[in-house]
Amino acid sequence: MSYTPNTFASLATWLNTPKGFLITMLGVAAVLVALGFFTSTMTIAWRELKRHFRSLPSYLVLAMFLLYQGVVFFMLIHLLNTPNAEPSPPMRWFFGGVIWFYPLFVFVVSILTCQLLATEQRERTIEPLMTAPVRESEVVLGKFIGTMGFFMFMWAWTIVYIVILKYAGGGQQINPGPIMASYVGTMLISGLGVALGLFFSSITRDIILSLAATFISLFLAFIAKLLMVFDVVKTQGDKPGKFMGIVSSEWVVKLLEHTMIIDFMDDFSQGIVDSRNVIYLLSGTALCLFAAVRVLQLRKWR
Amino acid sequence: MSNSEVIRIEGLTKEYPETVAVDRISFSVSRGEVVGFLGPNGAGKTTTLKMLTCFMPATSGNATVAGFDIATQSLQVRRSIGYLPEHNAIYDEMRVAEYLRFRAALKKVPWRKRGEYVDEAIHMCGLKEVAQRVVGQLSKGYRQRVGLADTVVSKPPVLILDEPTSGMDPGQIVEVRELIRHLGKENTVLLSTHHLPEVEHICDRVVIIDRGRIVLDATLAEIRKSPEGKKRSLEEVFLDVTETPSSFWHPEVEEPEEEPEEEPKEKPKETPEEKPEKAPGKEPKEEPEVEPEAEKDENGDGDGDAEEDRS
Repeated sequence: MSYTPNTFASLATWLNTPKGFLITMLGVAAVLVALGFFTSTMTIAWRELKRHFRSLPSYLVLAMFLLYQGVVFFMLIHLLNTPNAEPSPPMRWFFGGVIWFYPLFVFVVSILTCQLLATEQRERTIEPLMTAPVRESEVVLGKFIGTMGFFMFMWAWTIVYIVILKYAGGGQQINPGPIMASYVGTMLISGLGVALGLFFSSITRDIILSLAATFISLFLAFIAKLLMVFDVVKTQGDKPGKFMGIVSSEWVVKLLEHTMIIDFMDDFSQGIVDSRNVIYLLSGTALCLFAAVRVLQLRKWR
Repeated sequence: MSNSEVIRIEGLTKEYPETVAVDRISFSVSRGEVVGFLGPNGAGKTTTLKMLTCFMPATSGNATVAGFDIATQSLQVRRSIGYLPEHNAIYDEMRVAEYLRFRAALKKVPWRKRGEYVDEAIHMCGLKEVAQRVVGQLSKGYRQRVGLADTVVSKPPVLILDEPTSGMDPGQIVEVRELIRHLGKENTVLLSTHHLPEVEHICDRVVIIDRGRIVLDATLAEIRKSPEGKKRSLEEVFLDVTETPSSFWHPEVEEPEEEPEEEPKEKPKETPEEKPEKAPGKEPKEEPEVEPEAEKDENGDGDGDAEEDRS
């Protein structure tokens, strides 16, 4: 197998088939189980997942999420049922509709992640935790996996919508590929968000500060998107064609196009698992987790 | 190092930008010993224990716990200790048995033995009736017992307890004392506390630390018999060796001028490796300083002088 863009493209198409997707998921599950046998990571992850199911904020987030998604789904079906609507698969719009999905995402991520390490440091439970024979990386990874577990639980409820479409959709064909790609994309983007929140949670012991930092940084991406949508970037600045009078606005637009996680969902919802996007998201996640581990280790140099 | 030394501390130091919290302390704890680690508030007890449990690195000096170096073999050290922190923080949302199971898993107790170990810890610490209660709802005494159960759940050879009886009522204190005495039969225990009667009941040996330095390291028997043959309580000794301004709290007790006379006679016996009382600054040359200071102590104005100089 040669190392060409083709390899990635074929990998992406393979991932996109139900079989490839299932095999990948099984592989991921196997890795997680192996982690559980060999390290404390899964112990911490399991405890974190249980904590989510015992905390009020998590239930509020869950309720808010389901209500919001339900309303979006209802409105989508309603719109697509108007006489002059083009026939198109509803789930493509359900996942691809950035403007609907993203504000909720910002809230959900920042509320679910703000507590993870900030509370540990404030309540000093970090002391018994770190004097047990566990590494900082195991703590961070465990918390990440536990929170992702809660995200999966949250999103699992949206499968109900697909069931509704299948049995009450008037015989409309449902294409599993794009839907699976959408879920993969959702999880990848959530992963980046959770890792970012985990990082902000590690640098402070104040929950509100951690929440605000995550919220603002994720919201900035939304604002950047708005700038793009309304073409503000190109018209900004003293000189024409210069963003803030410094860099070429073309350049800024290009940068935003390639790095904006908001736009990734558009691809995923059409069934396109672009390896560039996947690698971008995964490496961003890894970077945030690594930074969080380093911040936890900082305690040793104070 | 000899095999019987489970904890060995050599010149352990913790410096902060403004202060020196722990200043070149050295002592060791042998296998099966129960050692009381005493000192006034802010003397550096908790800092020392945090360094021993690898929660905090030392600025200099080294220490071994169960034969592992705290700086380089942190995971092995943490595997062989059970540590009760000063602020006994427990996840409030978990149930007692569940929490202990979680801790046992973290401490790498094999999966098959976890249930058994947790049951033993629950039984040992008298948590049977609250095993299914949520930790957040427990009284402080019970919380403390959960913390103790956590320290013993993996059956570590070394127990490091930071004020195990704080916040307990007298009845509970007696229970915990019995528990620690029981644990001390098989384990090595390093116990920090303010509660002196507790030490007199449980410990074999006492290490007193004051302003980051060890001022006394002796067995209880050595402390009890004074040279004149009259019995001395631990409290008297404690007040003698630490620089508690007793005259400030009890204006009628103004005898620090008299006491140095009887102190120096036994001091050399008790603290052979005693550090200099007063080291002005952290000058690199330590050796020359030690001797004049030691001489001073023998001359009988070690403590008295140091106190006067400071105040």
